[in-house]
Amino acid sequence: MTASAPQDSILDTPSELLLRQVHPTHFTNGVVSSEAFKPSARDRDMLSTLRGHVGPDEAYRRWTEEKGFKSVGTYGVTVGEVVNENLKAVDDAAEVNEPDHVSIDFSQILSKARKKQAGRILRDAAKARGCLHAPK
Amino acid sequence: MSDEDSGASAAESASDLASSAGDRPGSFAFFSLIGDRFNAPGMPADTAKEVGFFREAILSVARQLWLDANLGRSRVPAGFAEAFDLRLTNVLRGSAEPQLLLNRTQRVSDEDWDEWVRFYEAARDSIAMGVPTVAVAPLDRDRTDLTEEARAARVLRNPAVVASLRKIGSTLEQAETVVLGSPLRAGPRVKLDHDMRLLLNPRLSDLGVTQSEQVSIEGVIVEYDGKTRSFRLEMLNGSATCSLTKDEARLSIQARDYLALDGFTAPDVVIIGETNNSVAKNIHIFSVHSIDIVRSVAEKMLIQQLQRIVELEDNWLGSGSEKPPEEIVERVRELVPALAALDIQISVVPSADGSVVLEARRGLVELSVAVEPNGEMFMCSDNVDTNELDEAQVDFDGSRLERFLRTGAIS
Repeated sequence: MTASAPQDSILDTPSELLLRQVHPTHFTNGVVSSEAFKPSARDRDMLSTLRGHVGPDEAYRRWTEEKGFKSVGTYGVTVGEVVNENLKAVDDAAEVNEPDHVSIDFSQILSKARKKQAGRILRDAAKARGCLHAPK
Repeated sequence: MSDEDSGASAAESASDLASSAGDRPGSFAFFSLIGDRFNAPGMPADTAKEVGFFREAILSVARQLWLDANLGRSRVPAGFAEAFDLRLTNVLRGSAEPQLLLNRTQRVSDEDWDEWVRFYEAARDSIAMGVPTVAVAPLDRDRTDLTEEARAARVLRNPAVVASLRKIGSTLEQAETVVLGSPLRAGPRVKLDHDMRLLLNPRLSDLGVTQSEQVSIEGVIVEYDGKTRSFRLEMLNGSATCSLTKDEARLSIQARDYLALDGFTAPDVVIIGETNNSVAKNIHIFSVHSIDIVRSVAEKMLIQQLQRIVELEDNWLGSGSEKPPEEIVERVRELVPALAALDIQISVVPSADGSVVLEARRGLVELSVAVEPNGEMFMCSDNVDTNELDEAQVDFDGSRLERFLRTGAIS
């Protein structure tokens, strides 16, 4: 997905939840790192999430069981919180060939510090919402 | 014959034999059985076990030498024993003189191999030099003005070493002799004849029963019993039951203060005490007279976080994500003591681009430093109240990194 996404693929329902998995190394001292909500250049500045209707449990299952990655749990941010940081939530499920996939596009932010800050603000919002699903 | 006469005689005889036997290029050790039984080609099958006893003794001494050289360690490195692959390749005519080669296993790194071989060789020579000294005089463990031979002998007082030394020559008859030591003519060799064995065995018995040794081991205190003034120390590979020196209230307080109720959250300590068997998996240490912190809880937490990063693999956070290179982790690891001393909570996390990111909070400001694979570091301070940002992309500088986390100042 790129910054030139078609307008109709950009999510615009502020209350819609986007589900993000947090890797165990991004959860230290009981704190979720802002790194968990900041994409790298290798991700082409796109942060992977799944649409809220998938559900936190199923999102966790897909990430850990289907894809074989690690996670301490599912966290969530809303499209409104994404837009507030001048970021876009882009439905790119077809492009990445993954059902319900949404990328949060950081590519319009050029400053590394500002990207880090946007990740921190999304992390704060997700943290305030609490962990939506954690393995038992 | 007096003890001293016999010891001198043994050393001279070994020296004579060293001269006549010459060098054994390529061999790890000189080993010769002398007696009527050994004049025929080969060597009697039932005496081949003497070679095994010799190997066992060298390994016991090598272990002790390695531990002496690595204070704070309670175990030799994994693979140390297995790597001592002594091979009997041939038996020379004349006396039964098996050729002993040290086989290099490919499973050991060059660095480890070079280090370990030095200990194996030193152990071989310590036996050759130390055994005559053990045979002729009791060891004074408090003496510091020791000759090279006496220093070698001191190593041999470890109970495990004693047990292995006692086996050498145990299958021989009265008129038979074993000579062992360096493969080089000029190197140390010892002749263990019947007289020498008669002198040596009582000394070894004394050592095995009564001698203890001072040990220094590292671990975390996981149980403390005030009634018996003892505690249990959990080590990397095993545990130790430790009894404190009497009438040292300071040590009791330290043992309680450094107690990890959960088995981890307490400083790592090095204790010094006495033991009769330092090679057991669960050892008993008595007369503990020193407990010192070697690693604070804060350091352990940082090291633990770094270890989790080390254990990552590429693609750990999705396709294309990179694990931080080892040299980047090491750069941060070198800063751990200084970072732990800052007395703030620091998180060490990986980034998908291979950076190691340190994050801390001072009041309303979040500080982060990404130590990047390109040799640079990115510093960022972010006021969570005002969203005021400050940043710098600079060459990696450990002092500057530490100063940034300490003061919050970028420049």
